[in-house]
Amino acid sequence: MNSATKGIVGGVAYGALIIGAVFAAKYLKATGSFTGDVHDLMSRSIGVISGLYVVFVANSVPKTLIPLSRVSEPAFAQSLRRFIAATLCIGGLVFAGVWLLAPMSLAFPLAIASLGGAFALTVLAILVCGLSQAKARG
Amino acid sequence: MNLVFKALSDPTRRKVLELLRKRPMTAGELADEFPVAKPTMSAHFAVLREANLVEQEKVGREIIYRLKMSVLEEALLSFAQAFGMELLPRGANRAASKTKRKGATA
Repeated sequence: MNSATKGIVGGVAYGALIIGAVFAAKYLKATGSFTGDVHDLMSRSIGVISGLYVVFVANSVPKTLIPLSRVSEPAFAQSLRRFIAATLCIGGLVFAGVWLLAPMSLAFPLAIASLGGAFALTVLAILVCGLSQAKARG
Repeated sequence: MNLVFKALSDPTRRKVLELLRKRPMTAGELADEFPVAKPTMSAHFAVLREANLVEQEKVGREIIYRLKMSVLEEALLSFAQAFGMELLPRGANRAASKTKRKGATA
C-alpha cells in the first residue's frame, strides 16, 4: 500500500470511526446501558479518535521522503521533518488523553491548547528554519 | 513489525540508525565507522532496507542512505538503545544472530 492509498484508507477509517462512535453513543443511551450525558460521551469519543488520527498521520510523516535531488540541505530537512512529526504525535497523544481523562469543563480548552500548541510549534519551526536558510543563502 | 524488531535487535544496525539520525550518509562513510567487512555491512544495510527503516538513493556514483523511520520506530530504537536486546522478542534475537552468521560467512 503506497502512502497516498494509506492516507485515503486512514481518512475513510477516521470518518467511519467518528460516525460509529456517534451511533454507538446514541445506541447505548437508547438501550439504557449508559445513563450519563450522551453529548459528553460523543464529544469525548470524537476527541479521542481525532487525537489518535493526528498521531497516526504524524507518525508516518518522516517516512515520506523527497528525492535528494530536490532537497538543498538533506540533514536540515530530515531534522525538521522528525521534529514536526514528534511534536504533532505528542500533541495528538495529549489531545486524546485530555479528552479521555480530563473533567468535561476543562477538556475543551486543554485539548485545544495541546494540539494548537503543537501546530503553533510546527509552524514556528518551519518559519525559523525557512528564515535561517534564506539568511544562509544571502 | 517483526522485521523492525529484527533490524533493531542488532547493535551495529542500531548504531547505523543513530548515525543516520544526524544526517544522510554514503555507504562508504557508514562502513568506515565500523570495524567490519564490507559484505557484512551490506547485509546490515539489506536488513534495514527490508524493514523499511532506511532508504538508499543513488546520487552520481555514490549510494546515499537516509533515515526512513516513523515516530513509533524511533521510539522503539531509543527504547532498544536504552535497554538493550533483553526486552525485544526472542525471535528477533534469533533472527539477528542468524543474520550475523550469514554476514560473517559472506
